[in-house]
Amino acid sequence: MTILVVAESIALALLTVLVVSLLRSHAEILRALHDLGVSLDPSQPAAARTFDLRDTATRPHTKHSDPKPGPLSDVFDLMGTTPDGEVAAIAVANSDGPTLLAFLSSGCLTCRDFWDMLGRGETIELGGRDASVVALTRGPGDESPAEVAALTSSSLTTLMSSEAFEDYGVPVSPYFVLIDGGRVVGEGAASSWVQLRNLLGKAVADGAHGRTRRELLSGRLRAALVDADLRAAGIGPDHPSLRPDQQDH
Amino acid sequence: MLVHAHGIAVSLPSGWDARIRWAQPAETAAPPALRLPGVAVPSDGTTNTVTHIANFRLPERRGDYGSRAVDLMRSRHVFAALVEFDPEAAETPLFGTAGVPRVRAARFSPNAMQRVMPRMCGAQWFFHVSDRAFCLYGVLGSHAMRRALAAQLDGVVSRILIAPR
Repeated sequence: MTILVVAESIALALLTVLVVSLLRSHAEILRALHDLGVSLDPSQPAAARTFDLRDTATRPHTKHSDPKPGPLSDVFDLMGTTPDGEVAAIAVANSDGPTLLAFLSSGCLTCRDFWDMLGRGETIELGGRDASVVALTRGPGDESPAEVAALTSSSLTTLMSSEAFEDYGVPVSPYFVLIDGGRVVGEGAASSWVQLRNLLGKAVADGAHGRTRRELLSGRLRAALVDADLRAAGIGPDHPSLRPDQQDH
Repeated sequence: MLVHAHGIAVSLPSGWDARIRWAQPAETAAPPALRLPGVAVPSDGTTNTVTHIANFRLPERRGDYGSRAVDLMRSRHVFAALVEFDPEAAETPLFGTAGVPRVRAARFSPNAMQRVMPRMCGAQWFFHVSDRAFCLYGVLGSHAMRRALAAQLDGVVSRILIAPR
């Protein structure tokens, strides 16, 4: 009898968790529909393919693309506005050829050289293919569109998007991310074009061995690599150097 | 990826680019290649929207109907321009069709492009939604592969949502 009561209590608890999860999911769906301006009021006549949108011209709605399957889903498509106010969505995860994301700002002096170089059409070559370049700054709330417009050129794809800085975990400007085949194959900060080319060249070389810089930097493989290096040097978990208390005896 | 502005929302598949902007008032409401004889399109200088969608990287400098972007297209590429006209145009016979049209391969022709380009084809539709008048101009990178390419473009166009201004 006691066992029956306990079993029923456990089942009831699991059902409660399930119901709460479903309600939460339903709330998120309703919130998303509301953001899109879809009216669920049954008193309103159905109007296929029309709906009421709030004006989002100054606040582009960002939605991440589905990440590529695999352990490192760290490539995100870009969404933002151009310095002249055009709302733009730029595919990166599944784009043709490599893409160089240049995270710049209007206020950093080091960025000025990169604005000039990129504006003249300079890019990074990857396996004989020129990377298409997207220059990114933070959004209009953090950067002046007029100042960014003065720095960029009409031929350089330039996007103002604070979300992109967050998506790619950009710590500083200038910062560069090289993407190919839906993966980040190189990234880092550089203070000159030559330094950038060297940085990404090494990153690409690492990528040829099946490891990307992001994999190394994020530590997800770093632990395994360190263990492998230690074992190669004859240092295992039981090595005396790892047990200082035993060495004293 | 969902992009929306100025009452227009486009749900993009992976690998597609989109741009939505206000266009400058034009002296002519339609490009010369698409202007229909005997048809007057109201143009009172209202600022209207221009939306571009493509399965390739859109260049920064583009004409309203895709000039410069179309130049970059390869055989597997598709491009569409959704050009809005003044609200009064929605009441004219040219824009009498209601609702965003379906993109069908049979509508595409090499001679229906703004500028004829080898092996490519184009098509146009005029319609109104939510009291707003639009021209949809589609370009396929290969006339020979128009069935597959038109189906791709239809998959995106059919998900365009337009709200009243």
